[in-house]
Amino acid sequence: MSNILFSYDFQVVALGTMILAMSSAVVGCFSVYKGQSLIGDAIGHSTFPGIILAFMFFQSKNPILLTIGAIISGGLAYKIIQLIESNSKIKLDAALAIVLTGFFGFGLALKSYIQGHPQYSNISQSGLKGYIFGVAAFITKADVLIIAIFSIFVLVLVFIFYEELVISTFDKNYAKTIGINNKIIDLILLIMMITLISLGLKSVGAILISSFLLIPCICANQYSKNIKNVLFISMFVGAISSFLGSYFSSAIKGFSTGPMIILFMCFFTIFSMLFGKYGIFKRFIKL
Amino acid sequence: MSVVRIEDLTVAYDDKPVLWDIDLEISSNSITAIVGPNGAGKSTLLKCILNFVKPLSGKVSFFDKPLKNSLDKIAYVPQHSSVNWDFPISVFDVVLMGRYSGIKLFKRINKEEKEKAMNALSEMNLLDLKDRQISELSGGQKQRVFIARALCKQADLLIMDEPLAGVDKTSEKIIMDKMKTLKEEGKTIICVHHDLNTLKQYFDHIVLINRIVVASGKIDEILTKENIEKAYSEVIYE
Amino acid sequence: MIEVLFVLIATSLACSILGPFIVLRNLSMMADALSHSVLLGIVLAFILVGDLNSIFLSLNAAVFGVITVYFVELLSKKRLVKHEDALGIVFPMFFSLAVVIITKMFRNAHLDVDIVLMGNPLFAPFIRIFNLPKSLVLMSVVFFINLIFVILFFKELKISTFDKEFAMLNKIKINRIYYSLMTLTSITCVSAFDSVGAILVISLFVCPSVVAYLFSKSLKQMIVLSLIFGIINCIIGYYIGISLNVSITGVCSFTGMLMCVIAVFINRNGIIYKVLKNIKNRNKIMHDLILIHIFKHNKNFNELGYNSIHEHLNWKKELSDKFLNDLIVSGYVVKDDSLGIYQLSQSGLSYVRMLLR
Repeated sequence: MSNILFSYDFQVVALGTMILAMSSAVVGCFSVYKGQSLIGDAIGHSTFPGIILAFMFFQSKNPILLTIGAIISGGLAYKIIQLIESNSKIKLDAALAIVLTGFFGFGLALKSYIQGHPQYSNISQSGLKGYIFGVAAFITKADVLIIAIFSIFVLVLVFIFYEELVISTFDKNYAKTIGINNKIIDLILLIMMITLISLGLKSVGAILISSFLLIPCICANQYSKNIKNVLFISMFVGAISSFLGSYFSSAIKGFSTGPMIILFMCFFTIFSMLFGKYGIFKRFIKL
Repeated sequence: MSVVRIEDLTVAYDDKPVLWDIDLEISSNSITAIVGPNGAGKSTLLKCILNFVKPLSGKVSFFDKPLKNSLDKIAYVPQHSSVNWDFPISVFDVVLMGRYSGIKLFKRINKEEKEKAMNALSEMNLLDLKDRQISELSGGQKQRVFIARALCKQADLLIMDEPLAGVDKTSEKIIMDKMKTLKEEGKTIICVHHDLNTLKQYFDHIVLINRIVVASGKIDEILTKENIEKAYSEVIYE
Repeated sequence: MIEVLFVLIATSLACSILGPFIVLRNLSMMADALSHSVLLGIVLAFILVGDLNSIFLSLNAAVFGVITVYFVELLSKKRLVKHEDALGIVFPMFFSLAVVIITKMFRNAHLDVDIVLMGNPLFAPFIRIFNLPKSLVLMSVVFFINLIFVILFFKELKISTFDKEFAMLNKIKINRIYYSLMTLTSITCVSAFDSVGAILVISLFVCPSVVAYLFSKSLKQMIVLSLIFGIINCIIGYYIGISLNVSITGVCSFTGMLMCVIAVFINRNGIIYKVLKNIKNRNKIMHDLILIHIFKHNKNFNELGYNSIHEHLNWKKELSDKFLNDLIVSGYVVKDDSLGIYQLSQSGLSYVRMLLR
């Protein structure tokens, strides 16, 4: 066991995913309360064509360039979701499904295009597939550094705008009356969300990354009705799940890290739904 | 002195005009009810003077200054359609929002602020409930929380959109008693109100609107059968 | 090659006949979750059976889809989480478990996660029964099952989609209808898996129905249009995919989104129509507004003066001059040069009276 704990590869992966999980948990709480949990899922899928396009454009797999591609693509997807939802009678969930499949399909088409194209054959494409499901084993020290820098940036933003985020998420109209610009707060939250999703693609993948935002918050909700506590608990849940997920995927060959982390998150959440402060068992005792 | 002055205000949503050329003055130290049928534009009027909805024409001033220079003096209690009841926040923290004062790095809520929030809570008779989560309260209690939040701001002008809608008798009494004391302290209160029976009991001024101002002024002079019929009938002008 | 297109069309028919109900009941993301989590059903059945082509595999996967739905409903009914959040936890859990099992146990088996998402329609013609591609036969059968379900239970589906309470009062078993619909959705997903993959299945459930929704006035019309748009979607996607030599399913999904976005712009209440209507209405309102202002402040020098009216309306002078000019031309307003103010003409006066009535 200690072998793994002290192995360099494990430390890099665990550190990267833990930092990512903690900052995602914080931002995720706000987006969950804003009712945007599934938007994260749609944006996660929609980042995929951005990665491929960035790769095609720059002919490189530089993580920063690919992340920027993902962010732009995710932002565009959000814009289209908004366009569809606010200009027609189509409901949010249909708009999400449309954009999710449309963008991801576009990504698949692009990927098949470069696979058969001689222009791209001399650059290794092997890493690109990893962005769908995430391959934590590919995480390098540089990736962890990028994740850490952006996470600190995100946490500082949350710290500065904490009151505004809380008030605007709790009561939009009231926020307006006291001079808070909801649009700017929403934009800040969106940028944080898309950035974290894009950062997580490499380790967790486009399909499951939104769970990093959502599940820790649901778990924390089973223990507290106070936003500050919820934030800390969900950070803790994210971190411990990432640690365990990384550990088991390093210890047992063939286990993929991202899904493993999410399984731990789900395990803690289901456990909390049963035995948490507001869980099913406590309700029975009250009765 | 007039607290609010509205001149030639016209508002439209998309393509439908809601308010036509409103001229109105709310005098200082009064409790004014805004009354009119459904769809008369009561809430729109409040939203427009607070600049949530951009008017097509006209201007609004508070204390003879534009809105942005007098935001500190105004507190608003909206209808709660925008409140996110699932948000994990306690009653006390909601009331403390009333002390919000702009974006500051390293802001700390000091003792004085907390005391003000506690005072507002006790005025609305909510001290026992201060640690509850907001969704655990009844309709009347919730409304009192939002009014406490507005009180906590210690504004000179309190604007409320149907504060008594869906509120129990006890809460109604607590709220309206407090309005009376506020008035005695020299504050001004504007409410959208829907219950014609309690108008005289609670208010001293009234504005009757139905897309235009039908009549406005002291309640004894304005609240006549004729004016009410005029406001609630389809035909506005003769 | 053309058989590939037939497989696509059969799949799109099977999906877009149920699509309208999924869209109208706001189940689009539920279909998404379901299509992801049936993977676990496939994996678990594969462990037991060891044969990828077994019918047992498909059935077990379909059952898993329904379990997903049931689990989501259970979590939200117990008020542990909101409905949409319940979705967001159940499908990642099943999907992660499936991915972990696949990567651990089937490194060499033909159960590739990529295929699950993308499918591979080009392989479809190689597996044949009755001298036809197996997928084509399978999807046609699924289409007929779905069609029969929709025809038999049209009334129940319609009422329970539009008004749950009314349906309950009329003794329609809304839960039974709901789970039947989701079972068929699940079966359709599983059957379409190896030919078109999870992503295109969702797209075919949602996109054609959404486009149809924007152009139709009744549910029947919507279903018919949905089938037609589904076919169009596949034809466009197929030919682009073939000619550019890229993933057909990818292009089909992308085409589906483009069709929806275009429909949002050009339908009867679409963006283009609204913008044009708003410009027209805005001008009318601005004119009416000036007329009412003049009517209300009749002969008031401050409010109506040539050089002061714009201040009262809080407009730029050019703007008020432009609209006033329009009104003078149309004969509603006259200039009173003796007082230096604008006045209503007789026709203007009667117009305002009509307006305020």
